[in-house]
This record gives sequence, C-alpha cells and structure tokens, in this order.
Amino acid sequence: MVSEHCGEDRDRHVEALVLPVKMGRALITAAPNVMVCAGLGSCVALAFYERHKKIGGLAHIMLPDSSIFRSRFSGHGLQDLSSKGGEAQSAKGSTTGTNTPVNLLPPSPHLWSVYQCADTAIAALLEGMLGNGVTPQELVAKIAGGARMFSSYENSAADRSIGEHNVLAVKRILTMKRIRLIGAHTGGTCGRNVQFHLDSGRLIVKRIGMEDEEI
Amino acid sequence: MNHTHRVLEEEHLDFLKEMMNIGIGNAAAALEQILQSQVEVRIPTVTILSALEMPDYFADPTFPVACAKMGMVGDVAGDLLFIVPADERTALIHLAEEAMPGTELTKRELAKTTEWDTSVLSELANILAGVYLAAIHEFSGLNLYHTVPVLSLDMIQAITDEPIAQWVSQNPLIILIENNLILKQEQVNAYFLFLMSVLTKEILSDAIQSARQKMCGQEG
Repeated sequence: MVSEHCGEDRDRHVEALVLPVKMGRALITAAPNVMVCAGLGSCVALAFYERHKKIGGLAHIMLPDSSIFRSRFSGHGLQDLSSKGGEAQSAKGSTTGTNTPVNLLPPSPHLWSVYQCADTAIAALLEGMLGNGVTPQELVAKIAGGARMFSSYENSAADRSIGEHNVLAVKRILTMKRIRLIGAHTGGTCGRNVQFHLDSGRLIVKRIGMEDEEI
Repeated sequence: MNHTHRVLEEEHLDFLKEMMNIGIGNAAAALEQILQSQVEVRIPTVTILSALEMPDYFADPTFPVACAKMGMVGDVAGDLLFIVPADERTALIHLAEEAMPGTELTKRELAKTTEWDTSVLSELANILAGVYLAAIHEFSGLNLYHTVPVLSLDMIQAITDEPIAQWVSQNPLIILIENNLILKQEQVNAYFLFLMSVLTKEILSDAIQSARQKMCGQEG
C-alpha cells in the first residue's frame, strides 16, 4: 500500500508523476506526485490530504447525490462501494522512473461510477485514505470547482446550478463526517484547472486569463 | 461500436450517422446564405459515445472553445451544443460580420467587445441548429425543437461537464459531429454535440425504422 513505501520513496528523490483525474474518477497517491483535474466546470475537485505521510486523494465529482442513479439502477454499483478503496492499479505507461505507488481507484464497471456523486465519492475516497493508514483526525479537505458555465433567463440566478448543488453537497457531507475543510475555491462562471501537489498539500487553481491562486 | 449502446443495433447507428450527414448539407446551405459566399463541406466525422466515455474523448480537456448551448425538446429530450475552437471563432465572426450589414462598430471596437461575438455566434448556432433539426425531422419524422442559445467561452471539458452531469443519470446517447468547412479559403472546424436522453431511445429507434421503411417504399 502507499503508506508502506512513501517514506523510502522520498529518500530516493523519485521523479514526480503528473496524474490526471478525469470526470467521475478518483485517485489516491503519495508525494512527490501531482494530481490534476483539468477542465472543471460545474464539477468539483475534492482533495483529501494527510501531511505527515504526504498521502492525498483526489475525486472529480459531477453530481451532488447518487439517489438519481439509485432509483434508476437500483442494486447496481452501490453494494460494491466497500471494495472500491482497496484495488490498486498502476497509472498506465507513466510510472517509469518512479517507485511511488499509485493507488488508482478504478471506474465502476456499472452504468455509473461511485466517484460521479458527492455522497458515494466521499465515502469511497475516505475509505481509500483510511485503508492507507490515515486517521480521520489528521485528514484535511480542500475543494475547487462548482462554477455556473451557462447563464440564461430560464436558468436565473435564483435557481441553484448543478455546480452550486455540488459544492453544497460536498460541504454538507464533509461536516457530517467531521472532516476539516481548510480551503475552498468555488462558484463563479469560469472553468478551472486544479493541481494538487502532494509534497506540500498545495492546491493550485488555474483559470483562463487569470492569475493562479493557491488554496 | 462500443458496448454501451448495445441497445441500438449497428444499422441504427449507421442511420444516425447518415441523418447527421444530411444535416450538415443543409447547414452548409444556410451558412452560404448568411455569409453570402460559397461554403465547401467535407464529410463530417460522426462519433457516438456514452456519458462515461466522454471524459476520455477529449485529448486536451483544457482546449479553449466558444460554445452555444441549446435545450432540445420534442420527441427526444436533451441538449444541443454548437462548439467552435476559440481561435477559429474569430474567423467565423469576421466572415459573418462582413455579411451582416448595419453594424456601426469599427474593427478596433470589435476587437475589445465580446458582446458582438456572442450575438453573432448565438445567431449562427440558432440558424444551424434549426436547420440540423429540420433535416433530422425530414429524414426520420422526429419532431425536435431547440431553445434559445446561451453562450460560454472556456475550456471544452468545463463547458461540457454541466450538460453531461445533467443528463448522465439517463445514460444519454451522445452524438458528436465534427464538421470541417472551408469558408473563403479559411478552414473552420465546428462541432455539434447532441445529448439525447436514453428514455427516448426507443422512440428514436422506431423513428429510424420508419424512415427506413419509408425509403424502401420510395425505392420500390
């Protein structure tokens, strides 16, 4: 597991991998790797970090609640939730030159993935972090995303967009699970790129035509 | 074709592609009228994907684009996106502004105003979507209408994730059409992305079947 190797990997000054986390997917890895969520619109990037072990998890969440899938595909996927955190898989083709293990949480074989929705993604990512020897007390969270990409008369400011629902759901679930949210860069009307640096826990937010921001 | 759309048979997928090819012919004719110049059309590339395959489709999710999003209502529910690469939208806009008389704006003013860009692009999207949907209606008998376009300029992934999130629970059929047009010796790539709700996939299949029967009847 990640926790068993990361210390010795740091001593070897291994090369950092840049690992993309695509929509509806999640990944857990350790320093010195960097995880990236590219092109976040209404989606929310949720980062978990443990600073002593320098282990982090990143989920690219699309929707606030899995109940819409649950009613439609009842019995598919949810029962597999407990197994999602453990299955390790190397990032294809890009692991050369590094010994830092990458625990890629695989996409669901079902019609939907647990990492698409805030409730199931947080549960699975938390389980994955705890499985790597992280204690809940030492876990902190940062979030970015949840923009409103299209504004129109029919979709007025009074209505909450999918992005706003995503942010609210993630914050609510984190509070419920007593996970400290120490940084947030959410809302607005611009897409974001997020870089999560596991050597420091920094989350860099990049937007087209704007200065980079760090949370 | 991919496993996700096993509900649709190969012949249905071929028919969908044919339907989209007819659409671009009509859209080109409409563009010729707007731009008052000849529009050369290459055969479009039609790709059919599921929502879960979309994240892997974009080689560069940060690619900057201009996108007009329209809701699709009628026999098939969903969204219709008209997408132009950000650097090419200026070519399209310059051609459109030449053809659209009555503007008092100078080139310098145009360079700093995006409102004009958005209105031209929205208008183009409006006309092309209308023509496309009319072609689909003629071909398959499906009644499809679109809502007023709303515009956004940003990264392709950021722009498409909200419509995908909105429809993903319905396991939508996603049809991506890459159109390659040559307007006044300038090559312009324009994309149409149809997000069609799976709830009406049966209706779509029936429509395609009836279109085939109609065509066979005409041949006979």
